[in-house]
Amino acid sequence: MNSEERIDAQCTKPTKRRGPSAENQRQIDDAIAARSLKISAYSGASIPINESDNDTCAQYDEPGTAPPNAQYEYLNHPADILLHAWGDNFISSLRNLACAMFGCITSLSSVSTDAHQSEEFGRNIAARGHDTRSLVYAFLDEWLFNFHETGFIPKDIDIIDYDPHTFMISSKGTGEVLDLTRHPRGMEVKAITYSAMKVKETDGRCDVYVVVDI
Amino acid sequence: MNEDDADESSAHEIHHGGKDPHRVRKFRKRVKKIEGKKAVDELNQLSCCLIDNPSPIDTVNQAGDSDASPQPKKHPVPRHLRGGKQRKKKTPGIKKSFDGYENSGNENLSDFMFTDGDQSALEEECPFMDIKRVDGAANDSNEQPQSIEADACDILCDRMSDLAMPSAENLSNPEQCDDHEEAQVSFAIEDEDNNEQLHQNAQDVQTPGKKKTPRKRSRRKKNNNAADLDPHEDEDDYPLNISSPDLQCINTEQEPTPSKANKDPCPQRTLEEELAFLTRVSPTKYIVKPGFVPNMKVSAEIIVNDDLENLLIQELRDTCCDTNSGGDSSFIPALRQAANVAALPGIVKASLAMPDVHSGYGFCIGNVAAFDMDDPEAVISPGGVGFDINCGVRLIRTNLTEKDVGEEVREQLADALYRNIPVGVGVDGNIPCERDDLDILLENGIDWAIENGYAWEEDKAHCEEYGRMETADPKCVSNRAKKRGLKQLGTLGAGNHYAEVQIVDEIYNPDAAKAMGIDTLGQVCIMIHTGSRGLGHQVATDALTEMENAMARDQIELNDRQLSCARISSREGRKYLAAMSAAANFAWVNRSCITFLARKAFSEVFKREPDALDMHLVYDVCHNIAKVEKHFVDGKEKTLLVHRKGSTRAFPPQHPNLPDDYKPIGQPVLIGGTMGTCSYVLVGTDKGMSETFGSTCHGAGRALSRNQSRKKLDHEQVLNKLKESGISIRVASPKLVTEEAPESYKDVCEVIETCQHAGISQKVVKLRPIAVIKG
Repeated sequence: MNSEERIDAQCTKPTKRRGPSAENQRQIDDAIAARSLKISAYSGASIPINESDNDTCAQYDEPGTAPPNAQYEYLNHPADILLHAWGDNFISSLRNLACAMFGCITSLSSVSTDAHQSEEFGRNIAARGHDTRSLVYAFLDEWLFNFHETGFIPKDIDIIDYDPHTFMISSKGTGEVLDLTRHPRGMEVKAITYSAMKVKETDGRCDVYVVVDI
Repeated sequence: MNEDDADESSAHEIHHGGKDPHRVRKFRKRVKKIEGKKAVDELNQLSCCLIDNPSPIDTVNQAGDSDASPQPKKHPVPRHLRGGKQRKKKTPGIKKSFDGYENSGNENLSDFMFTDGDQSALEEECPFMDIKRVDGAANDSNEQPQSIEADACDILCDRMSDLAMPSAENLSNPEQCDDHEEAQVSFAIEDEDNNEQLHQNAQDVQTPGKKKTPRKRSRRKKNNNAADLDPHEDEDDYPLNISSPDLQCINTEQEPTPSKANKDPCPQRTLEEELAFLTRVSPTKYIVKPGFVPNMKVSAEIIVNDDLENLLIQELRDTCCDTNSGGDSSFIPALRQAANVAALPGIVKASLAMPDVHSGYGFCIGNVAAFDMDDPEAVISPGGVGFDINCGVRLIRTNLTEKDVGEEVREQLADALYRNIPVGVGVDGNIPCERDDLDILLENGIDWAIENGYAWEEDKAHCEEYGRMETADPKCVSNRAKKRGLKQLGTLGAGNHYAEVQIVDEIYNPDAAKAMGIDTLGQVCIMIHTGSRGLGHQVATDALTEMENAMARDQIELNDRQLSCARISSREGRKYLAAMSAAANFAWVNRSCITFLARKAFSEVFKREPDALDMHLVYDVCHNIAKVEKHFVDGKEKTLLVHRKGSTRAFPPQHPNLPDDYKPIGQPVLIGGTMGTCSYVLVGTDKGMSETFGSTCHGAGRALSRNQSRKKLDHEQVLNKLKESGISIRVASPKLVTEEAPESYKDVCEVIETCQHAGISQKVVKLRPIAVIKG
């Protein structure tokens, strides 16, 4: 390999690499070092598989698999995940739907309840739509955004208020902030979609279907 | 970014622009403008070329790009390709625009071939254009009006006829001069308030399609024709004499839309009836005739081979004609999605599907659709871009070979990459970036990364759009999106995103490979596949919500609610384009930051500087994006908004958007395989340019659903299999590897071969992985 020649050929003027500023470099190094400590906790230095997933997380359900008694399930979709949740009424199926979404991200059974974090991050998540579908969309989107902003995973969600006429809903959740040393990592839910979205209400039962983009 | 750094970057700007440090941020556009002028002046001297009449457009546009990264001063066309006549370009005073380009030293501006006469008409009709202008994000190089004098046109004509590019008439359209002056005026009044003012104007003109009558009679006529023809076509082409209400065969759960056929209950067509719409026109191409779904304005074209064809038809069988499957888990098959896209207003030529096609959100994955910017009805659709805006692949070469990376080194490399690059869900980025910085980042794209020392200056030329879309406007990006983006800068993400160390396995085209700096079998390369992360996802989410409303207002008729879209010239359309461009810029910075970390990781393992390892960027492609481009349709040059969702741009040799070093070979196209399978480097072809708007496939494309993968495959087996084939792997969520296992995807080699046979791209290099890190 005559890399020297190639460099000469490719770039007419060799540039001096400035690199990030000393301060930025330090911050980056610190961040990497901090993460490395975490990594060693859940991934052996030279072991291809994250060890902890076999040990500490083994007792939990796999993210993206519904526990046996859950009122939600994951259905086939070519590239993404189709969530199907049900309940006695629209509100309870919405609750289950949000749990289904977070169940993709990690195993809900590994999530415990932290009162302080729940109060701080899981309080009053409000959403508004202009019809039922957009309400479902907005509701999930609010929770997803809350997760992306704070890392908070609700284990259980309560609907505080729901107005079927103005399509407004407010909810709170109890759970804790995602901790990669304790919670198995699942899929990254990028966004909610209107794809195949369906709300089916019959007497005493409501089914909701939503595809989340993975 | 902390205060020190902010100062430093300000200092940098001062150095260039000579502005008061406290006002630099506020007036950075102005600064850039000044810088640009300086740069032009300097470059003028350097290249001893004269600008006859340097227009403010040139200046500002150069400013944008020269701001952070003065490009090597190269001619947009390599010397050996210019020919004797073309060499005239070097002499002073031939023509403004060429010299402008030359002096800018920015190949990005070398879109001269794509300038057009229609531009001025478009400018008048489409307020969006004016906005961009004055925004300073003006003049996306693709739309830049230029006047080129006759001899230049002569020179270009030869190539144009080959490349299906603008005609000489268009290039020398006298209207352009006026246009130039208009632009000058716009720029002259640029000030801080302008944006607000223009946004206000923009809001006033919410439905330009209704308020403004099309200026050109011919265009009107065309639209009428389209409208007139459609119903007939539906009926004429309809096989087995089924009456038109039966046309509707979309899943029942789709919301009713104003479409005539949608008013009727969903009928059942047998598979045979469905298949009657499909015609195989060549061994690699299917055409889906209008009528397959209602309101198709053009046909849908699918590039397939036998296996892929079977998959598609299987999908159709499973989802459409089986009464039982119309239930809970159904989704719209890719074929029908491609056809639905063909029913969108303003679509030209055809809705194209690449061989890696599969069902997606609204548009199928692998869908290419171009909309006529001159058609006031034409739309832009977030569904046609996807949630992961500017998801893409980049390849970095090294001067290492396979013998340098034995088993032990592979493990070290995988560790170093995994340590340095944040992967997986819920992981924050390492790269310091403050909120104020983010706006600059969103506007400047890769220039931000160069400025802050994460990217090399040479990297810029090897990115599509030179790593920066001029249409970006940070103001159009919601705070939510910015919040999500800030935390995730420099992260790889999860799903199918990865960073791989790869080995050159086969070289099919040594010349092209050499131009990319790949000349040895066994050479080590690094491939990075990621996108705009949460910022892009949120931009798409925001846009979908907004467009829901816009569609109702503009009465856009759709077969499928997922195809939410807005007229390009509407407020929502413009806003989405600006926000999408900003998200695209974010993605380039994200990939640049990961490149920085990958270079760092290699440097740690091999104890040598990245430069000494020759870690240059080979190319960076986007496969989820919409861009304004010039294409020839039915012999006429058109300004199109080309949506590529799960499709890669593949421009042919000599295309003016390419950097000098790739002009002779065509645009490098990077196709990432799936975990553990091969990846490819291809180049674009002239045939691709004329048939698929210069597009080819983007990867393997899923074959199994995630659930199916999980049921069929065992994650330990998958990991062991990779290990056995000598691949070091670090995954954040090992139990989910089954979803990304090679068995879950179509065979990437098949996909590549199909593209090769169809002639839309050509193989150059095949790479196989030796180390993978992923979420």
